[in-house]
Amino acid sequence: MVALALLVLCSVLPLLNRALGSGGRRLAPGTIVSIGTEQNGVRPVTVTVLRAGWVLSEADTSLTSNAKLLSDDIVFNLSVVVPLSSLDAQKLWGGLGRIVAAGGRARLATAPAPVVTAHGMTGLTGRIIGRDRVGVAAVFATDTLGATVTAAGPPRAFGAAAAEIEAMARTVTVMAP
Amino acid sequence: MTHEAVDDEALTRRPARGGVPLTRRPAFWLWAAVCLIGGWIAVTGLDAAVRAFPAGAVAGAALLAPTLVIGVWALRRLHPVRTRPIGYSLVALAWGAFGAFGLALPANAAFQAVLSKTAGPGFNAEWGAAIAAPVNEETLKLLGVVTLALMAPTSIRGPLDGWGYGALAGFGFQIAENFLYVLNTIVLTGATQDLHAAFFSFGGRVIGGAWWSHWAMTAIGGAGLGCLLGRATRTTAVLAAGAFLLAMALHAWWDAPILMGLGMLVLKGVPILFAAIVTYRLARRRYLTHFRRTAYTETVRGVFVPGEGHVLAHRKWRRKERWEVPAGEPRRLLARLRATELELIEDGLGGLEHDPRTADLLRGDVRRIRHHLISGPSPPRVA
Repeated sequence: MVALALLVLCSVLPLLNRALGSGGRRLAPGTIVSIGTEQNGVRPVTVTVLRAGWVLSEADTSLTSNAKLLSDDIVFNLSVVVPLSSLDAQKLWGGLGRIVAAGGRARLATAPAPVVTAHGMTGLTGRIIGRDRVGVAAVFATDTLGATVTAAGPPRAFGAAAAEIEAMARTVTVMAP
Repeated sequence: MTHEAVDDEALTRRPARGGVPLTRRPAFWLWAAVCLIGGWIAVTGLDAAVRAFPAGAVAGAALLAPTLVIGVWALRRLHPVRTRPIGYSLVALAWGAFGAFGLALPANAAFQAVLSKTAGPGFNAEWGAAIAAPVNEETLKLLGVVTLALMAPTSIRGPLDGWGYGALAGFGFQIAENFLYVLNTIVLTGATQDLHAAFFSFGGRVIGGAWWSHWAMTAIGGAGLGCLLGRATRTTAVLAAGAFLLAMALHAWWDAPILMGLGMLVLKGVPILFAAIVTYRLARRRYLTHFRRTAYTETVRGVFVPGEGHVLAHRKWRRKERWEVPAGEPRRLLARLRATELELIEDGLGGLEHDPRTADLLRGDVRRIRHHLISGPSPPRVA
C-alpha cells in the first residue's frame, strides 16, 4: 500500500506534467515580463521582449524569483537578487560567476564591462563560455535589489541573435522598494 | 529465561510482533529503498550548490546539527511515561530527512509545473507552494509513519505513538528542507554573502519558524493515523482522515500568500503550534487513562504489586529505584521487569498484528522476572 501510494505520487504528477507538453507561452514583441515579490500589484524587476519567437517556459519560471525565456535553442534567464546588506554590481558579478559555475556547464569568461540600460541604469556585462554553449551575462544592482541576466545557446544560434539578446538585456529595469 | 540487560530501549531490538525480526519484513526494505532513493535525489540535487558555496553550506550544516540533536532529544522525550526508542525514532527521522524530502523535490517541481501550465505562472507564483506542498509533503511524511508501523507493529499502538513518530518524520524533513533553504538563500542573495545568507536563513526558518513547522503538521496527521493503527474502526478511520486533512490545511495556511511578512510569522504559526499541542494533550490523556486503568487491573489481578503503577508512570522514579538496587544482575532484572510491565500495559492499546495471547505471555514474564528478582540475596524493596 505504501509502495503504491509512493508510486502514484511520484509518477502521476511527472507524467501529467509531461503530458501537458513544454508549457511555453508565446510572448508578443513588447511584452514586459515581471519578476520578484509583488508589491501593490507590481513585480519590481522587468525585461521587455523585443521580437516575436520568445516563449516563457512556464515549467521553469517562478515569477517571485526568476523567468526563463526560450527561443529555439537559446535560453534567457532573468533572476531577482535580494541582498541582505548593500549591493553593488561588482559584488553581484562575482556572485553570478559562482552561480553559473555551479551549474557545471559554463562559466563567465572575461572581466565584465560596464553596460547602461535603456532606462539609464548602469550594470556590468560579459561573456559566458561553455563546452557547447556561449552567451552573455549581465548584472544590475541597486542598494536594495538586483537583477541578473544569463543568456546562452549553441555558438551559431547565439551568434546570430547576440545583438538582439544584448539589446533585450539592456531593457531590464529594477525598481528598488 | 535469559537474563540479558534490558532497558527501555531494548524494545527496539526485540523481534516485532509475531516474532518476525525487523529485517525480515518487506516494509523494512521498502523503508531502506525509499531512504536510499530519496537521499540520492537530494544529494545529486544539492551537490553542485554545496560545492559552489562551501562556506555557507558548512555554516548551515553547523547551525542545523545542534538543532537536529536538540529536536530529536525533545521529541523522543515528549511522552508522559517513557522515552521513545532511539531505533524507531531514527527510522522515522531518516524517512523524513531522506525518503520524504528527496521524493518531494521532483514531486513538488512537477506539481508546480502542472499548476503553472494550467493556471498560469502568476497563479503558481502566488499559490503553487500552498497547493503542492501540503498534498505532496504531508502524504510523503505520513507514509513514513505507516512504514514504521508495518516494519515494527509494536511501535505505533495509538495516537500518542503516531504523534511522536509523525513529529520525528516531520522534523527530519524540516532539517533537510532548512539546509536546502540555506543554499536557496545564498542563490537568492546573488551568492554575494554566503555566511550572512546561512545565518539569515537559520534565523528565519529555525529560530523564527521551527516551532510550528513540519514536525507539528505531521504530528497531527500521525496522531490520527495512530488512532487507526491502534484500533481499526469506522470512527478511527474518520479521525485519521480528519487529522490528515487538518495537517494539510495547516500546511496550506502556512504557505498561503496571506499575512505575509516577518511580523506575521507568529500570527500564522501559532494556530499550527496550538493544534499540535492540543492533539498531543488529547493523545496523552487517552494514553494515561489507559495506563492507569491497566495498571489498576493488573494490580487487582496480582500481576503488579500495589504502588507499582505509580513507579511505572514516571521515568524519574524508575531511574531512582534502579539506583537503589545493587548494580549487576539485580539492576538488570529490575530494568527488565519494568520494561515488561510497560510492554504489558501498552499491549492493551492495540496496534497492527495485535495478538490477544501476548498479554498472558507478558504476565507470565512479569511473574518469572519478579520471582528471580526477589529470590536474590538482597531482594529490592520495590519489587
